[in-house]
Amino acid sequence: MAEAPTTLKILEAFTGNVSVDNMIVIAAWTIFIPMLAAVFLIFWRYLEIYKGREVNPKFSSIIGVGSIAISSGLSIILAIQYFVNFVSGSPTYIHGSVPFIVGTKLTWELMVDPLSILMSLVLAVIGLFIHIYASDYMMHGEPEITRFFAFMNFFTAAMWGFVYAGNLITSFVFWELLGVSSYFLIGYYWHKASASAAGMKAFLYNKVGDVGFMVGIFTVMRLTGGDVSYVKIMELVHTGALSANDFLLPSLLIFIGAVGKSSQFPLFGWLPEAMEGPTPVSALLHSSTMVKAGLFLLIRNFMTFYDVNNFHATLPTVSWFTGFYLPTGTVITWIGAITALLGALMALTSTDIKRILAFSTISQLGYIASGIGAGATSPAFYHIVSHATFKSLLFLCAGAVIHNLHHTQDIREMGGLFRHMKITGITMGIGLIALAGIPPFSGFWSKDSIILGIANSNVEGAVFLQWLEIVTAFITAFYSMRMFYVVFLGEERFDKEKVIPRDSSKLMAIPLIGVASLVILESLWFSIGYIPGLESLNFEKILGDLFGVHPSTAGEVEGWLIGSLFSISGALAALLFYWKYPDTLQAIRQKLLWAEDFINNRFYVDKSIYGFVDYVAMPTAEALKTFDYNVIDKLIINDIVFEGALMTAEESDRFDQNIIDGVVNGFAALTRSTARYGRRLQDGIVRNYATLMMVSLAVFLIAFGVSNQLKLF
Amino acid sequence: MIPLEYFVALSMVLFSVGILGILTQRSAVRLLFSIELILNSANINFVAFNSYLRSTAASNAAVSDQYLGWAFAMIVVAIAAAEAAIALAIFISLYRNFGEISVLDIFSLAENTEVD
Repeated sequence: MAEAPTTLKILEAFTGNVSVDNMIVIAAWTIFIPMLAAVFLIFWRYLEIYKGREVNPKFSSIIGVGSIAISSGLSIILAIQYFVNFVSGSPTYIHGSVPFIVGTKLTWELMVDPLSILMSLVLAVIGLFIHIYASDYMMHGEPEITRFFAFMNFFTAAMWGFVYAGNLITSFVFWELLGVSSYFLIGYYWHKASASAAGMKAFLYNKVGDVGFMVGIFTVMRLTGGDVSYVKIMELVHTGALSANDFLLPSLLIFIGAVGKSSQFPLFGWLPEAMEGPTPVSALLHSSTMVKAGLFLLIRNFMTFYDVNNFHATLPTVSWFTGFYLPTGTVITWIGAITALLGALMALTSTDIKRILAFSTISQLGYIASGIGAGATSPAFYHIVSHATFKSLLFLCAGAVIHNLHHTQDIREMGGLFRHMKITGITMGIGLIALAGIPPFSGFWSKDSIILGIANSNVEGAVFLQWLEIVTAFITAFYSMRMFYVVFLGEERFDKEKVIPRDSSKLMAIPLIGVASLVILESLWFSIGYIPGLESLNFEKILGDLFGVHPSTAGEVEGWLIGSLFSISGALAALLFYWKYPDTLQAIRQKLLWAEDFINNRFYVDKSIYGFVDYVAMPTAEALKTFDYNVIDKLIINDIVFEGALMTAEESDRFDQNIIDGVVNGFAALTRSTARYGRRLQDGIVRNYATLMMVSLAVFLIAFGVSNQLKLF
Repeated sequence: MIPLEYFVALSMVLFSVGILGILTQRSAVRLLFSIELILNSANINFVAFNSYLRSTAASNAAVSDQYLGWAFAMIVVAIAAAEAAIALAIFISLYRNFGEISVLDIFSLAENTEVD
């Protein structure tokens, strides 16, 4: 935002003459347009409620989808222009800022670089598809569609702002806006107690991360002298003024922020609850974009985690205590891998179609986080892209299923839907195969490059984590296929009297087919890159070159073989068990009921957090409150400070009255008495004056005479 | 010839008497007397010093005419006469207005002279 945005410059964007400065202007408009639409729609909703304006869902959805369409167009144009300029050698990091608080180094800063461009493209495409889908999904029996689109636009604007943010402060502002929009959208059905509770839970869990992030920003500020621009931090790291060792605490704190937002262990409890929101919200916020914000933040700050040498990100070896090494990257990788495993296990036992997807999202986010932690940022972003696509597809399909089954979410009441809902079935199948990681689908390539990235890294216990994630991939394939079988194949368990399953309307089908074909396109593109001789098209290699961090894993055939073996066997095992040997499966399940119970209770992580709040945090707060009330308020403030102040005041009052006033009054009295006696001389009787004069004269004369005689002077 | 100190002493005595009179007497007329005494003490000085200087400078007859101290005495006498005339006129007027000429009792032009 080097210059004020003008209409002319927007036109220039369409005519193809985009200067470097104007890119920032276009980025700013990409954020402003949905934000303005959101404000307008909130105002419109006010008119609807309080002025009795007729509710017109079509109008709201046109505004809501239209603003996203314009912004998506702008961001695609920006991406094209950026890469055209990039190829012709313009700077990689284009950024502009305006003061945030005058007199400080805090600025609103936007930055356009490969990372933000790619993320904004993901947001543009998926956001647009989901908005179109939502305009139909929310049309039926949703009188508050205006509010829905207002907050969806608000969210999308905030996400674009977060993606384009050029410094930590700007990121933090949009980060908080993301949290707020998530809260509003989860609690969209606010009259349902569970939905409003879920919104509150998501908000509070996120707040834990937000505090970490905020403190992290402050610690970064202390290191860099107040300037938290990413370019500035990068510059300091590259010139060697600061190293990853200095960033140990800040990067851990920023990671806490990512743990909250991207629902990593142990703060993953809010994401399944967040499925209380409408399905488009789950598809856009809680699978493909908002929960990626935390991971995006990690990739944005990758320079604080690693020492990058010749494309190899190596973890700094910081000694906290002698012989104990704990670099941030290792922490992130371990937490990511644990999250991946726990999420997959929870998805395995869940019976709610949206919650399976939510747990699967947690698991996949864990994969991505572990990749970032291992320094494999390009595979991680690779997986962000492919996961955003297939997971939003899965949510859209799940939404279609739920929609047609009259808001049943339990997969045990589905089954055999494939012959009724061909389009939904095929698209969901594509999404699930991609999720399962069956080669050559997109999920396989990106997930496997993360696993290979961990294997090649120097995190503590890399081999163990690699195998942990391969096992998790097996479980992922198993629950994906289980879900497909239970929902779409097998016997029809839905209530046939009430429900007539059929394919969705066109507006809902178009996004399904669109996103499904995106998954296919991605799969094709990703696969082509691994054919020997076509390595220049390898998406991971392109990302690695753009970010300048990680070498491609192309050619590591052994890793792919192991990965594909485990995913395919997982998928086949699921199909086999559910199709041919359901009795064996039941027998195994009966034996493992305790484990299922343990998993269904979410490993008691949530319960531990609640317990911590109930039995540690709240009593501590209560005790502190009592201490505050009785000791600080009563004893210190009332008895010591207040009484002491009162006594001091009295003493000083007395001092003031007696000494200071006394001195002043004494002088006044002295003056008065002097005047009283002195004025007698001035009695107006001339003769007295004359007497005085004469006496004085005589005295002087005598004095002169005496002094003359004695030669005194 | 009478030494100069005698004249000066006489003049001093007269002056002192005059001052004493001014300071102690209440009657305006007596004040006028005292003033006349002071003026005349000055006159005695003029005349005495004039005479003294001329006698000491007698050898130089050419400049002796320049010692004209007596002339001041004449002027003072004339002024004193005029003054006496005016003062007596004022006293008579005072007497007519206030019925007395004691200067301590006539203070109608003064501000509040109350002394606490």
